[in-house]
Amino acid sequence: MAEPNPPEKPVAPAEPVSKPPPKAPKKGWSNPALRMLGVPRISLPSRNWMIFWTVLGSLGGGVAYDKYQQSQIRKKWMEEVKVLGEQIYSSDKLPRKLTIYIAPPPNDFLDSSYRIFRKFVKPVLNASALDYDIFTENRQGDIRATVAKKIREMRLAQLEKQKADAEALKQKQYNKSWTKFFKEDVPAFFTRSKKQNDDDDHLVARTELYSAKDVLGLYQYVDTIEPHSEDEFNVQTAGGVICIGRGAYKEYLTGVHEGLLGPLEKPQELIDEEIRVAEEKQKKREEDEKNGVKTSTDDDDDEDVEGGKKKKDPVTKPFITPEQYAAAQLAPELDLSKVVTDDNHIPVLFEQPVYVYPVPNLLGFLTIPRKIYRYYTTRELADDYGHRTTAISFNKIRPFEYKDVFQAKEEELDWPKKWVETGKTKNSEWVQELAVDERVTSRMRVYDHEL
Amino acid sequence: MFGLGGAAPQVSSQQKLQAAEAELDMVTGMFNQLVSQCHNKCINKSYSESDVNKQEALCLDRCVSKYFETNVQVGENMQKLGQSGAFMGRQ
Repeated sequence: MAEPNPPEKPVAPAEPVSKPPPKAPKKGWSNPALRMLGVPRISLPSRNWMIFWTVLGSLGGGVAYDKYQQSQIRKKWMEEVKVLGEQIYSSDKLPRKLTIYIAPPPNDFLDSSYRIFRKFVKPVLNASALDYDIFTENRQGDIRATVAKKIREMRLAQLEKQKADAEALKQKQYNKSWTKFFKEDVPAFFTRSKKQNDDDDHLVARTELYSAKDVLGLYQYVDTIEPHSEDEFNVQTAGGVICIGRGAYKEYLTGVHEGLLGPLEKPQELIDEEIRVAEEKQKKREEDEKNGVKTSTDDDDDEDVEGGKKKKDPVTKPFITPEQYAAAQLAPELDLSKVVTDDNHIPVLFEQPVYVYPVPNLLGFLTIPRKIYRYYTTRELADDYGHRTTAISFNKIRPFEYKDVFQAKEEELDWPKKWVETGKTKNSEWVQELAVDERVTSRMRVYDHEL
Repeated sequence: MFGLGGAAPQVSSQQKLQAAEAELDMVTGMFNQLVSQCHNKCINKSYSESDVNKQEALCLDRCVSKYFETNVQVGENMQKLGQSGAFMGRQ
């Protein structure tokens, strides 16, 4: 055991001398004990490696730090609203329900604005125990069309109800009148004696007369629970509409205007235009068929693909344009002197306060430096959005002012210029100035996190 | 005459009973599952509070509705599969 060690010792120091004659022994720190264990000299890596590790470390560290801060900030805002979620709740109550509209940013997918909601807004809403419905769109105009349609349907239902009421009133008056007495009651009096014989063998189901509970003498102590939404009781703070993205906000406001100010039926010009477009498409298809008679199989495939794509109807055009707002009448069917509620006594959508989050989303090659900067400072966004969301949780509401038309307008700076140009030629709703009518906006309220 | 008349409904009523029992088993099983799952997911196990708080109530509401909806959808799909005969490799 002792013998093989001594001959090895002189060999080991001989190696570095013989192998790299130009290189001096590595600079660094060593310890005889460590050397005996086979640990090489501890030294700094070479210059190039140093550069590589420093760059990698600082870039990666920046990302990690930002992510960590984001989660800390999220926790901070969740703690802030936690009080709301911790109150004791009986089972006959339903929490406040928000309506959330999410639109994709221009030239991008829905996911990029959805992510902002999921990361910064949703955790705070959940911590404050708010319920919400999410509506997303993949095409421009969907939100506007659905909002307007809902309001129109409500107006139509109200109109029906008014008609039915008028009819009932008429019937009541008729029942009291002399005309009815002579026309119906007098003849009925004479025919009644004949009919009486037929009524005798009329059968009734047992369950209609009494139920097992009545006979057994059992009583139910627990009544069936009918849950009521909180929104029914506090009209001022009920619900809430949140738009993710300036486009969604524009569409929502335009939709409310269209629903309240627009006509109930589709205007004739729109119907004509739709027919014209459909005819043009039909013509085009026929021409295509004529040209491609030989390759009939390919045509069939194309049509199948088109059929699959066209399953969704195109978005309905607005029934009213902003220029017509001033001349239009404000929903004559609705009683606007008080807060309009639905059948469950919950204030309808346009009576609920509104809020909008801008969606910072940069596109294109030249914006890459700004994109990188934003990526490394996402924590600021998280902080801002958490702060904004607490305003919704704590119901910081003020009436709509004219400046609220420009809410989240800073997002429009991010929109690609080309997209805006094509939008202008296509007459897109997103790129036009948001036009509002005083009569509609005076009823609206907004959340404000600066209150 | 009575034997003939009685035989057929007897079988069917037994089948009905069996079907009803299976149905009851299924519903009870599902209900128990739902209760345990949603309890696990939503209720704070430290039981510091005797009542359910708002957050737990909301979570339970969502959990139950989601569970039911998923159950119905899975059931419908299974039924479709069973009718088409493609279930479990049966052609």
